[in-house]
Amino acid sequence: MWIYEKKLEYPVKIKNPNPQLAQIIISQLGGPDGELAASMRYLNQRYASPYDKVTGILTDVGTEELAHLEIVAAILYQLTRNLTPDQIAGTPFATYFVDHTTGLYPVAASGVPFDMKYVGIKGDILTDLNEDLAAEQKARTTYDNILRLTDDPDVRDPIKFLREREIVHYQRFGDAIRIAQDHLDSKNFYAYNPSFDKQR
Amino acid sequence: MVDRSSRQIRQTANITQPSCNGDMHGTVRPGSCQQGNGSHGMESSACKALLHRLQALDFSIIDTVLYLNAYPDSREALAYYQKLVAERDSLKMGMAQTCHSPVTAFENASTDSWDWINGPWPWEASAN
Repeated sequence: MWIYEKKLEYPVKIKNPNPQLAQIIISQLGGPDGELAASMRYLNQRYASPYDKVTGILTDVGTEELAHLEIVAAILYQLTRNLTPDQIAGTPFATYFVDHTTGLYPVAASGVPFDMKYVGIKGDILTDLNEDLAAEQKARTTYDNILRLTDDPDVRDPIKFLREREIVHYQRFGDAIRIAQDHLDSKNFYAYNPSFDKQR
Repeated sequence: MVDRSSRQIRQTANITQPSCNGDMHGTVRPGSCQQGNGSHGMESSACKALLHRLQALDFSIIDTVLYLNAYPDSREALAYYQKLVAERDSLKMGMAQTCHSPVTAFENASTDSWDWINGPWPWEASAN
């Protein structure tokens, strides 16, 4: 089960609202490589993990992604405080505002709502872990792109934290895939699905 | 990553119990603690320092947990984990009792006030 801790994993304190920037950063909330996709990916993949270490990694990284989702939400919340009409009307943010005001609705920067189609859950632990390695790199690239689009230090600080965590998660999934591969010897590598064919 | 965070913890102030008196509702004392209506313990700089220290500590724990999941036989990692976790309880008690800001719904310390739902919430700038 999950217990909620009433603090962010990393502080967010933004002085200057900027809805245009929020329009971009929202991709890490509801976009294809964002934190909602990551948490749904890992937390649902773990049910098909036959190895305790890997189940632990998927559970705890997945939980941390929920915490990151909250940090992204905090960034978006603070970027959309106390807006004046000219910060909204005639800007790209207007199309989000008309449907959601300054509520937080998981979409990509393009406006496409979050979709489970972004998430691969194949029920084969080797396949799933390969998906996870790719996912962490895609998330890291997205944060790289966000850093290219703002020089506000209050925004860059938590974004750099989140970007660094993607790199660390990539290392942990590297450990996980090696652990899973160690359970298979040269005779049965890819010969069967350890999540399905062999009983625990 | 883990080493950098432990250095960060040692550098922050040696506060486990901030100096504000949690019972002084409605009075303003000069210095570190200002209490108003509801839970405004978190506005004091001592309570902010407590929160930041707990955030840094918990982050170190999270990163160590991820490492231990892959390397559960690492005695060094497990010893480091235990050292971090031992510091946690006093920080959480300070948050709940002195700052009226329980970290989880399981830790509301007051028998007079339900502090759990007091603002600010973590996504607000004033909570950070």
